[in-house]
Amino acid sequence: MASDGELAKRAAAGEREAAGEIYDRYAPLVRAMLLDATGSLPEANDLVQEVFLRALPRLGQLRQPERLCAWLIGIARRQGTDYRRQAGRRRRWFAPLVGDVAAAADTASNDTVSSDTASSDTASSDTASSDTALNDTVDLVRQAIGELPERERIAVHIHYLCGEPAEVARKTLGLSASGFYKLLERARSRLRVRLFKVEQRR
Amino acid sequence: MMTHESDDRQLDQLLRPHYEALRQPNPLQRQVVLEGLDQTPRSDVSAARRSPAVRLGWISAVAVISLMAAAWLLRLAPSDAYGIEAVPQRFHDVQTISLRGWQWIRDSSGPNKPPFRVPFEMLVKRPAMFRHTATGVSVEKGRTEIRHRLHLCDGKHESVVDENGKPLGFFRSLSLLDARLKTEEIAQTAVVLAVLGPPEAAYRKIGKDNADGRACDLYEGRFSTGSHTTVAQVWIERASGLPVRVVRDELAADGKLTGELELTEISVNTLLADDLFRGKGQDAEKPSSRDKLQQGKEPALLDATPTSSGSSDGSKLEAWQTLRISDSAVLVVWRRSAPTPRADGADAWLSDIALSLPEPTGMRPVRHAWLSPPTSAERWSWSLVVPADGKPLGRGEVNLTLKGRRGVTSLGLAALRFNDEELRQLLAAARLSTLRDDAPEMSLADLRAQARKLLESKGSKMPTF
Repeated sequence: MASDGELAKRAAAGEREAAGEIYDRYAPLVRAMLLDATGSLPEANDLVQEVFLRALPRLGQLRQPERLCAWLIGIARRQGTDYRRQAGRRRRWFAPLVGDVAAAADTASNDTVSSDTASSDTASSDTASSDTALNDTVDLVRQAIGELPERERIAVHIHYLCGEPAEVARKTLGLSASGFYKLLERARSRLRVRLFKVEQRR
Repeated sequence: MMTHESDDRQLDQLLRPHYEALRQPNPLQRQVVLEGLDQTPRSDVSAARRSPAVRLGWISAVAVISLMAAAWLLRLAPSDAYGIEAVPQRFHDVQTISLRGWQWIRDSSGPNKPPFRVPFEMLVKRPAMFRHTATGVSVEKGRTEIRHRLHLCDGKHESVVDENGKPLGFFRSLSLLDARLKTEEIAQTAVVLAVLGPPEAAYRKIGKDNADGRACDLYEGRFSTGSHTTVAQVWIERASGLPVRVVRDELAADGKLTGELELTEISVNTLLADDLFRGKGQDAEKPSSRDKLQQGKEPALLDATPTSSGSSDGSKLEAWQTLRISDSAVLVVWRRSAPTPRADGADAWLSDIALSLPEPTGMRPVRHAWLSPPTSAERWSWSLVVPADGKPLGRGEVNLTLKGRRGVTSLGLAALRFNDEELRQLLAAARLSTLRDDAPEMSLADLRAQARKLLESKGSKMPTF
């Protein structure tokens, strides 16, 4: 298997297969990072594309090609921050429709719908649907991972998504193999507490 | 120790499906990324590093040119439109929707006649009001006549009026639940269809543009309507993620484009007066003379008239509604002409039937289970449909097809999304309106449990034809 450094150099020199291999190797990890940021798989997919469209043409700028994965994670992290900013705008846009209608109406401009027709059904439906979603194991797992501290979260992603986890962790998190497995074990303990507690409660 | 190991295994069992979903290859996206790379100049500064003195000058000159070239090429580089997939959900989250623009209608009174341009309007005010144009065309003695109509619902009545708001023949009282259901049909089916076209439409981001001073991503999609191909362009505002403009053209075999639909105003959450949803002289508080005519006749909780139907060569297929039970299950209420009797009972009613979920990449197979099997061609039956791949529904339109002896009847049924409380009310009312009195009660929880079983089953998939 070609090393990250080798792949980055070949892709920077215009070798399409190498660029494809970089995508295959790291798209799942980037997707996981972006799913943490967006909470939505379609949105995360959209952003994965943006990350690679942004990163691959700039591989030539990479001073340490062997740190390719850390560099991609950095771009994904920035993309996630941008997304959250946009999402904040979107929430403001939709403010009268979800959550507290009366409070939102105070901040809504004159031409937006105020409280007259916005029904309480909308607000209660959100509560109901989020309760339903919480009953879904996949959502529970996603939520539990999302609540981990960032380094632990990345460690779990690397463990489940990367071919050589200890090596990737060394380059991205700057950890020795034993340091990585300690961090991973800490993350898994938190997940056990979070998920099994919930599982037992259900 | 044993407990720890078993906990570890249990944790792995919980986490692996989550990560399996993230591992799923996305060949289309991979291709788009690599194509984007082919069209984007690569930036390589390694040569410039040799001399710091030369470096600064070169970097600034190259950076400016590269940035300009990259910006220009990225603007043109096509990429897949995952963002556009969220548009139906965004429309679902708003209180009002207004679409206004123009529609072109073919003049079939003679060859080479230019199409008519007619106004297009579609307004939705949740929970239970809508208004949309319905343009009729007839050709008599070589002359084409265009009739402008408006279909209105004010939450209590459904009516058809002329362009001046004068009531025409159609008027009836509705229960609030029925008005709510019909409003969502318009919001989730007609609005989405007007903006995005059918679910098979494949969109690609083709660049960035401004529409009415708003920064937008521009998407282009193509779809076939059977008789021709339509090319659609949709401007999605970056700040809101909502479409602000749509231009749709019919593509002729010679490559010529003819206007089909142009939405010049797309807005959400604007104030829409209740009067817009009533005919002239119709008062919300006082019963109209038409109401008086219907006195003593309480409107049915839900009207069980088919909302979609087709027939071919003596065989008939009808659907009442399709409801989204969960992210990966739909309830289809439908009926068909009687099949040739066979020994296998209810399954005979599935003979010559195909079910699938249409998507840009093709027809997605589904699994089917009867919730209330058919007993005759006149009775509605309830079917549970889940994607065979177990993944979420996506846009959630179900394609129901009946293959006759000489023809095929196909219905595209958009699965309507409601909150759980409304869904419970709808299921209870739909049972009364569409099933026999002795049909067993089915709660939402029951349906979801059955859907989960069906998703997990390894049963055979329905044919997709």
